[in-house]
Amino acid sequence: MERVSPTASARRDPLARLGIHGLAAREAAYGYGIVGVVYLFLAAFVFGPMILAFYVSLTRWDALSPIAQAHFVGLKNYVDLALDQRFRFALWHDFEFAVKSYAGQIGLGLILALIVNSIHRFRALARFITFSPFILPIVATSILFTIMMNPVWGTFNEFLRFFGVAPGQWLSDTSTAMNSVVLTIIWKYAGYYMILFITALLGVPQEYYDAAHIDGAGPLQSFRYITWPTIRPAFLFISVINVIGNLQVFTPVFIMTGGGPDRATEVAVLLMYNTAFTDFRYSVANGMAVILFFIILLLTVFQMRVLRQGDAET
Amino acid sequence: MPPPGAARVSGGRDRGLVWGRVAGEGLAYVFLLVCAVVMLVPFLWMVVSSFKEQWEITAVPAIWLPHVWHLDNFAYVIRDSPLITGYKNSLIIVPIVTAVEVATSTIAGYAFAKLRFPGRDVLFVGVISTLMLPGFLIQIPLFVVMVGVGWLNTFQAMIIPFLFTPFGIFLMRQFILGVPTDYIDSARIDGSGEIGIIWRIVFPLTREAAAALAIFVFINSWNDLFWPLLVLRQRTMFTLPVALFTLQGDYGTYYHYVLAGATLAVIPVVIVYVFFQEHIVRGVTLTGLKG
Repeated sequence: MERVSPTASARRDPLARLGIHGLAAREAAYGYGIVGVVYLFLAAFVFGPMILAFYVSLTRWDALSPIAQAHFVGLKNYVDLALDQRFRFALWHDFEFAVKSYAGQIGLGLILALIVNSIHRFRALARFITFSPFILPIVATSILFTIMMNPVWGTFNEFLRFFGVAPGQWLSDTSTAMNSVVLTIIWKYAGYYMILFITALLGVPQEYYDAAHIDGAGPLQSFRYITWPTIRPAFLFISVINVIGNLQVFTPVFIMTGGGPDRATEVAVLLMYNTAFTDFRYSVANGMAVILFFIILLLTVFQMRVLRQGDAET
Repeated sequence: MPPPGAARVSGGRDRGLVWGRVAGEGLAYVFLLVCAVVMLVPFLWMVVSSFKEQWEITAVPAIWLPHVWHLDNFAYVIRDSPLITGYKNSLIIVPIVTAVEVATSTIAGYAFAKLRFPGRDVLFVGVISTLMLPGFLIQIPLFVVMVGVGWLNTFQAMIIPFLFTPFGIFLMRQFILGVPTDYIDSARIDGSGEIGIIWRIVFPLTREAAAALAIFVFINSWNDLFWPLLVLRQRTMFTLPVALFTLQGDYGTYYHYVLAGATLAVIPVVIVYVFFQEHIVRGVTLTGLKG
């Protein structure tokens, strides 16, 4: 009786017919009605699949046969995965990707924000141009960079030769492939992080800089004592979101290298995808998903704790 | 904003500082110029190269401009590839997902922010606890659900699972909290229904948040490759990212066609960006810092 469809109830007075009178009771009825629908959807499309992932990871199943044929094997998939070198490498590549991307995206984003904030002309133009890669579709960007990184005739090597630098192998060499994907992702998102940091920097009062300047503070001191304390909460929040997102990288790696060469860029979600839909070891892929989920959860909790601790200090 | 310190410094000690500032700002412009070039060159190279012949792209040393500007590269890709189908499908799916998600997020956000009922805040914590759940953990198992209900290769599979999202609900709730409860109470006493309140009071006051959410959902949904890759297996159902990805596989080393396809996928987005830059930036900032 609580599940009243919100559209129907807006018309005459269906609630009165259900015996609900009085403003407070009506309000509660609407509340439960709406939240009930929300939970119905979450049950079907969030909680349900999550439980399914946990269950399937305890079975042997290819997702081609009916789920009734999923053979319960207990923790076998997890034991296998703990010993699986390929999976361990994939997690390692995930971390490599996340750390390098974090350094590049957040570092360049912050530097760009500070610089754009300090100049007096062309500010809007600088923002417009550096943010523009963010709006390009990621698939198109990945395809474009793959072509430009061709080791034989690629434009990037053309530029390197122009500056007298030896041309690189880019995506074709195990030692440079990951960095090349990271480079692409930095190019695409540095402007995005710049925009976020510019907004965070709006919270810093200009007078503080002026005062510090009169007191003879250099730019580094200004940053340390004025800028940093103000943007710190935003910085930590942005960091958490960045790391969580980058640990789930799929599209650029899938398109640019497919995990190669020699699995040097095989990240966790890509391995999951291939395990589930190419090798049809669907239950194993679910086990990987569960493990990566817990890793991300732990990292999130850890970062949140650091974040809160920082709040207490300042 | 006035240049800090530029007007008020004087005297010998500060002269060095002024010159330092001028030099610093000069360096800043040089750095930004380099960045601008780095950001723009790949984009320009793509557009120009999509008019080339294949050998002009792979030539060493590079040929920067095509001898003949081949418009027929685009004609070929439009005729021969699933790109236009992808466009059509994305233009059906993405606006629906966006509109519905903004509507449901506003309604649910309103319930969690303004309706008083026992257990509300616990139920809200239940919703936001799923906020950080990684997409793959949901979508890999959700795939078999889609198979089970027979939704592979359907638009429903692209739309229904995203009708309610924890992020949208969370974002709208945060902003609806700021709507004065007095307005809502007096509207209710005047006999306004809850949907009327949402439509006439809540929505107008949180329009900026709704716009930000719409931009956020649109960009994500427009770019998503992982989910459509799982559930859309027929070419006629492909969304734009899948179509574009297929193009790379189909044409392989026919780079002029691949680049023509990429250009066709990028140009409309760039036009939208040029016209709605401020909105996009504001929307992205709002969702990026509140999420």
